[in-house]
Amino acid sequence: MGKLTGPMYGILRGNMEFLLFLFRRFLRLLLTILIISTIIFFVIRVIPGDPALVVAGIDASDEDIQAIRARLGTDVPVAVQYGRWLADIVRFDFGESMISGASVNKLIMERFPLTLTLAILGIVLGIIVAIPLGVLSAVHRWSFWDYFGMVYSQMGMAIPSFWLGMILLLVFAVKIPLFPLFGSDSLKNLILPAIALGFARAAVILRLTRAAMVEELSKEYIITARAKGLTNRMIRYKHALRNAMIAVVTVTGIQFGYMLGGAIIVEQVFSLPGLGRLFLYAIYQRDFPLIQGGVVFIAVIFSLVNFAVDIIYSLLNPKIRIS
Amino acid sequence: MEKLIELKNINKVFKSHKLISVKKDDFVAVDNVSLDIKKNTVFGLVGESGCGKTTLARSVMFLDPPTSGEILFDGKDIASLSGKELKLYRSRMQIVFQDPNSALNPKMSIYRCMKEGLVNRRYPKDKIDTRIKELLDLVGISSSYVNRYPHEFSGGQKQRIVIARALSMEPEFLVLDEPVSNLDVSIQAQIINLLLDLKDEFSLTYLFISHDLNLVSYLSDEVAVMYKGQVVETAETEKIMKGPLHPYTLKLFSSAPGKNSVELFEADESYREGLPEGYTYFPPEPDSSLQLIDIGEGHSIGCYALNG
Amino acid sequence: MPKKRADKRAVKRADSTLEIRDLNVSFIQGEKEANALRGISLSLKRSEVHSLVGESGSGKTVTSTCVMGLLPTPPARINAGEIILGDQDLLLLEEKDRREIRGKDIAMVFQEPARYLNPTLKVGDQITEMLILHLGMEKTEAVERALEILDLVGLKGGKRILDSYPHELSGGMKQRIMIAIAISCNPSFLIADEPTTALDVTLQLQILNLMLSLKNRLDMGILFISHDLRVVHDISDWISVIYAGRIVESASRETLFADPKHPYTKLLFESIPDADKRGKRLQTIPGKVPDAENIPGGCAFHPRCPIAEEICRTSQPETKNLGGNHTAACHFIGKQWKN
Repeated sequence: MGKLTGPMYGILRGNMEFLLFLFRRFLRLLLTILIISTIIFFVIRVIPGDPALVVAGIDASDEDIQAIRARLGTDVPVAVQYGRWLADIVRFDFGESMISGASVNKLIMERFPLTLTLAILGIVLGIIVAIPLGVLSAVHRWSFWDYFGMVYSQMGMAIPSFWLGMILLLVFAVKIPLFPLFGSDSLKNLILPAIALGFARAAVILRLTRAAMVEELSKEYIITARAKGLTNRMIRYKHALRNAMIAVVTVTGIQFGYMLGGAIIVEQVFSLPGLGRLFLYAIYQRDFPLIQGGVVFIAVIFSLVNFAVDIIYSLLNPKIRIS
Repeated sequence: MEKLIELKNINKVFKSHKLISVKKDDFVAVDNVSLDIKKNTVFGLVGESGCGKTTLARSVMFLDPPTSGEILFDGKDIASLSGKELKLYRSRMQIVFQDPNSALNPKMSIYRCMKEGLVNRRYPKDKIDTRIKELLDLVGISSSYVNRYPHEFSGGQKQRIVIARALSMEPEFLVLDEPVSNLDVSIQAQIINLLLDLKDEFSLTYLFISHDLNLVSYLSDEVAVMYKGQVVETAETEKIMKGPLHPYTLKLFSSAPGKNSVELFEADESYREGLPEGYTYFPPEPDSSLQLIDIGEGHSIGCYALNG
Repeated sequence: MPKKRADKRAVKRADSTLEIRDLNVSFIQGEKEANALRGISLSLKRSEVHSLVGESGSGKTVTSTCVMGLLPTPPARINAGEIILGDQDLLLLEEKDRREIRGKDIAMVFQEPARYLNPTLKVGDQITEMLILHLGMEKTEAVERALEILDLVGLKGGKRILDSYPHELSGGMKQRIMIAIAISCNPSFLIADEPTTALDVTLQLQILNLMLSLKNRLDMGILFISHDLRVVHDISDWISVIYAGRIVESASRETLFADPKHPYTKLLFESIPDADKRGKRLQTIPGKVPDAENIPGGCAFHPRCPIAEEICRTSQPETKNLGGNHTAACHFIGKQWKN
């Protein structure tokens, strides 16, 4: 009987497996970043036209172009360029913007806090609206709140965020001047954009919350909970919601990832100097180092968000820690 | 009696796949099992869930070829067969599972489901319809139902259809994996009678897998008891029912419901009923290997040799 | 507040019987009505195991859910009947009062512990939440009590078990946890719906023995729902056989197994395979259990019955008392037939 058996074994193995699980997920994160950066590298090389020519302009002499190529590092074979690119990524160094000459890292880091704040606000607003409404819809099916939730989620998916942004500006900044029209220096500036951004995301989270809750409420352990004589409140919020949240967290995390990378339009509508705008202009101006850096940066952020979601998921779901 | 199936030292090991995993040990689902199944008999295989009985059956059917060991079908080593021959041999053995729902495609009418198999084995096209009628007749399903879908039948009827489909291959050997466990008592009896009738009519040989000792002792000629991937006792049914020897067999028999005693048999280390000199039921070393010792008249018990 | 909560524990009724009288339940779906229970009566005494045996679709689970007050209405509709506990008819109670009884006076154990336990809640919480709710215990007190209960159901490992999640336990352990939850508030009655069907035979015997010992220790009446006559044989004091929503025969275990009167009961016994019947054909019951939407008129069993006559098609037999509370509902009690 010296062998570990039963729950003791389960718990010990559980913790070991959890660490291994984290480690595996971390490896996966690195792999994702490697694949994405490789794709970016080659896609940019495949695009017709020499970036050096774009930078130099049509009047440039051969020497000028050579000099620019040397500066861009495009004068060596592709394999060498790829090696350098990977080395740069490992050091998190994406070079300098071809347009402004500033370091890509610096440009990104200047803009990132604003986008991050906006995304956090957006997701928080989304969660505040979506989860309670989703739970209410599931618990009182075919009630007023359920219909309200359905109408909301339809609208959320149908209304484009730029239109919603403009309407919000028109109503709450112009007609009823509750919020400022321009600027980005205070939290107040970010409320309307966060609503515009969070509105559609909330619709997705709402639908999922409702579906997950309805599913959990139909499971057998709910019958047990009822047979125990628990109150409806305990059955719904202690038992069902906890299990429903496992699915909701995953989707919410992915939505948050989208917001970080996809605030371009909203930032444009509200003239916010965030990442979205930075990348948009980089694309207009064929600022290749900045585009490359931006895509890799977003990929890293997205992977990190997913990594965090995986951890929260496994904390909510004790089963995942062992399986 | 002539042997139809001979299993020689069958092993089935599931390798642990994960690159990074705590569970490094491979899982030995079937551990050195040797059995003979005689023609036109019912061989019962009993054991609790996870003891390897289904894995063994799948190995015999070559659905999941064994990791090592020989399977002789009618004296021929199945592993030595080429793809084409194997296909031929496979149609001579069929399997019926516990759950007919997963065995029948819900989107296929009974007719199509039966026809598929017949077409596959190139049954003369013009005779297929009559053959399907015959087969359904045989299992007691009215042939006017051929165009119905599985969900229109009850559990017992579905199991009959599955049996009819297995018969359409004209097999000699059927593996019956808990074929009545999902059915109501009154329906179980119908299916069991049907299986026994079919066995006599077509000289079939059955490997009957079940956790239900009463059922196995009712219908099988020989029984093997499996525990943790190994056969721990095998004998003619009457012999093993009258005088079970291995401690696990006794434990299993004592737990079968329907007797007045509700005591679970647990052997202590001194228990050595039926053992020849120099053997023990309990592994002397953790890695001692179990041997199946014949103690006379085909009654074998799994035990360990003392002193290596 | 704590004082008032503590009071809850003092008022523990000493109910000696749970009685179901003439329970009639239908399920309504659109135009269709399925008459699942057609006048079920049975009584359950404390420290007695009363088994309700029947095939699938016979109405045994509807009976147990109805007693627990867990039948969703609609689609279910209770047409008639009473469920008497102590001096009150449970069917007349408000949902709030009904809830107080659930888990505290009448508890339930289900078939598949793996699905009936909450996967994301530690088993300790699943036990203590009832103690806190029904008995007004403080958390620490509830944990102490939970440890005692684990002992009662034969789970060694104490605190460590309370801290584990269901999937970390084996099937047999999970069922012990289900039982621990059910007995935590010391209920007068326990409804066990096929509690061992999902378990291996050796585990089944252990769980049955556990239930029997708990029954004696806690002076608890058990309504044991099963399709397995052999299991029922081992555990019951009293057995009722249910067919198509009616109890066709009811007797003490000894009487029923020695001298079954209803043809359905007799046929069921004869259709069970065992070693004694080797070489003989098994008795079968032709056809299948009717579904609740199309129950044959007269005696519901008549289309499958070997001794049915004209009267069985037209009139439903009365439940007759054959002495010693052995009852059977058949027009031709005791009539023999040849196979």
